[in-house]
Amino acid sequence: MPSSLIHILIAFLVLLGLIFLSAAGLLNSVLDFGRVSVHVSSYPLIKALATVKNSLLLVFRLSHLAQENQILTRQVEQLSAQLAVLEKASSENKILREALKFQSESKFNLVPAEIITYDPVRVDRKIILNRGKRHGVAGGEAVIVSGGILVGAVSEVYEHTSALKLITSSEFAVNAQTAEGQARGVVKGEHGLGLLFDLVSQNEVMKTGDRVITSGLGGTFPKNLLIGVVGDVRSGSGELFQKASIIPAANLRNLRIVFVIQK
Amino acid sequence: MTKKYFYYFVLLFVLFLLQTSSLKVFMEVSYLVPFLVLLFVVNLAISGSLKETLWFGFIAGFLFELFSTSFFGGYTMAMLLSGLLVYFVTRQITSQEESLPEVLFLISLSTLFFSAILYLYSATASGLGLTVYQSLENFLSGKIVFSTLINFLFFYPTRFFVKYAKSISSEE
Repeated sequence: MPSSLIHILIAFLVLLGLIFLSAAGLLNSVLDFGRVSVHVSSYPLIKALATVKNSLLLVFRLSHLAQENQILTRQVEQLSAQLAVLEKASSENKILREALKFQSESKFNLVPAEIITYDPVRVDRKIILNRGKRHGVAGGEAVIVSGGILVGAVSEVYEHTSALKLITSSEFAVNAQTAEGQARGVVKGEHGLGLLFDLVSQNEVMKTGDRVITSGLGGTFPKNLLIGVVGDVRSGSGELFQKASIIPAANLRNLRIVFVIQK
Repeated sequence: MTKKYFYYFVLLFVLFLLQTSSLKVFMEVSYLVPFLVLLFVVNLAISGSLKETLWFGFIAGFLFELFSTSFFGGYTMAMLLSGLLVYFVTRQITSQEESLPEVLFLISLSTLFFSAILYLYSATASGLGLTVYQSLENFLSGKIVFSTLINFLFFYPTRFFVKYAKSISSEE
């Protein structure tokens, strides 16, 4: 028999022997030892190959960078829009909390109302509130914001809504005085642009920075509602009364929640 | 002679470590990892003696049994038979330096034959109730084309190292 054939036969016989040993479970310890040894030996190679793989992945990822950039830019835009909405919600939350606190502390019977819309046509700008007769609102009632600041009066009332006439409206006038009580007069609106403290006697003293509040005279508006502070005082020796511009205490361009004082 | 076998064994072990490490790292594309150990045996079958092909094929197959999940003996059987097949085919084809088409043919033959033997062995063992049956797709699928091409690419580098091991042992 040729030696090559003998070698082949021996090899297959050895293999057969090993198969039987494995089936009997006698090779397990050898295989285990071999696995552990190979695992330990291949550790440095695995680390090196992992570095190569990461480098290759980086190269492939570069080709996708432009696309990823587009996707991320869109996500940023979406998130910015969401952030704007959330910031607005946060601001509204703060306003509502302040309004709620004011309502609970106030001695007046208040009807809280939200601004629905502004009248874009009239210069004097009436504002529509989301409260009406159904909610206990009546014409002529004073309207304030948190902090007890007068912003206007209810001019028209409907079933579910009402119109607010701002203090800067030409149709608006309220008896007022300085907080210290040294000057009394009438605060009038000036075409939606500002306030004028008029009909103040020449012998009464008022100066820039004095707080102006409602005096309660006439019974139309409660007293001690803040209107604003004195700006420029105009007093001429030839005139019967002195006047002053009033800087409104409330930001009339940014009203959100107001309170109607029920009579 | 002993030194040559020693260098062959070291080279085989290094190729084995390289292949198993690559399989671990590039698991997702395992079909693109070259079958370095098979290429070593194929190189021996082409340029070496039958004894070298037989026993180094045996050792190579046994090393793979360490990580085999199927019944013991499949890898050893497949490696032995693939080595013998290539040995006998090359004796018939040519005794000179192999051409590229011949090499491609031998690589394809050995890769396909190896997987086929593995499947048949596994099927036989499951038939005897020794293991669970594994479907043919686990051994032979379309990805074998990629495996064959990768093996072909790595054939000549492996051949270089086999010849180098042979040359340094003969110099000493």
